[in-house]
Amino acid sequence: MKKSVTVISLILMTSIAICSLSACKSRKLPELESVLKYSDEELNRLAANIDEQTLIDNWGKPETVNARRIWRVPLDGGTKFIVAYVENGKVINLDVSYNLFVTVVAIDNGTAYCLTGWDDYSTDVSSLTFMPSRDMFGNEITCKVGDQFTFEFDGMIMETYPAQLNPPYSATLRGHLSDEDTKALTEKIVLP
Amino acid sequence: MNKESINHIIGGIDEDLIEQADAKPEIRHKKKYVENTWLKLSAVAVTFAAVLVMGIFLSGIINKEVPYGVIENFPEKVPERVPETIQETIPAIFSERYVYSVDEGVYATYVGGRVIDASRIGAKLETVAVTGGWMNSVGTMLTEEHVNADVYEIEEISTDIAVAIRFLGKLDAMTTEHYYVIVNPEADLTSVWEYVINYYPANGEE
Repeated sequence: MKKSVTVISLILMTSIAICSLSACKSRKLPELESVLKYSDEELNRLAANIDEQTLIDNWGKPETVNARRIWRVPLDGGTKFIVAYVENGKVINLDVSYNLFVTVVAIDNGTAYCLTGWDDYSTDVSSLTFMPSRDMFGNEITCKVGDQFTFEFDGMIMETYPAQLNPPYSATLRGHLSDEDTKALTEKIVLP
Repeated sequence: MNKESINHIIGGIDEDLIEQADAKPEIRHKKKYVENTWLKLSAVAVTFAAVLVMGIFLSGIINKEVPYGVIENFPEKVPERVPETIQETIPAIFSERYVYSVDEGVYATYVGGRVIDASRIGAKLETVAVTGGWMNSVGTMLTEEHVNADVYEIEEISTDIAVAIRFLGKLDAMTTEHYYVIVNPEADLTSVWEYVINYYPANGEE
């Protein structure tokens, strides 16, 4: 009888230990696809409660660009990016990439300029912006006047004139304006 | 009533049967022993299963998926257009950005803002020297350019708050045709709110 009690006790203790360990070790985070739907506030809350290792445990190894840890999320219409800004293993900010419509309207002395729109391709010359020549990962973005791109980027526009963007996470060529449409846009633009 | 008496009553029973009857208590005892072992093993298994289920349940509570996605009626995010101190909040996160400032005088501490329509420009105040250039994310100037610029009043705005500037020479990232607002970061910027550079056009809305 004593032997049985000992065996049962051992099994009990081992089970509890295994369960406790597994509970402590891994924190389950929502899937990347779910996080794409989060509001800024929800992302902030998530960022405040996690560290870099937890993200890696849950979402796999990210691509690293300086302080950014970047996870690609392939969707039907393209790829979105979830980006954690990390400092000493601590997550400072968590963000989802923004979509931006970009039309190249001028190339002057090797510098390209574009018009940008949040919801559609813009014809507003006040949105004139420096066209990034590379993406965030260092890949060259080749373009010519009239090219229409969509960017996935960090959402930050420095609203100078011309405005300034960080390199996008991705730049996808979607189409090309007719010469007539291109001319109508470029006539109105004032370059530095 | 003993065994012999019963034999006597029922008129005699085969000796083998009697022997078998004698042996029965042993068989019964053995069977009882076997049943107890299975009972114990079952108890162990049930206990183990119970602990496992409880562990998984507790683990589920501890690891419960963070319910960040269920916030309802969350207010729309309002972009912070006027930071407390503009200089400090210019995000170092820009890999490169173009900056400029007036070299000296009362406008030397003013910070570059957005373009303003020519219809709001008032009298010319003075001509100043300006230094501009591309700066990387750690604050190192990558290029440096020097031009002169005219400084103008903005209608109905105190020059203590903001003035407009028009560059007289070519810069990498500024035109010579536009009037650019430069604002005093120490002033109350409410009246020139729309000309302060906004870095967070949140949710695609300005």
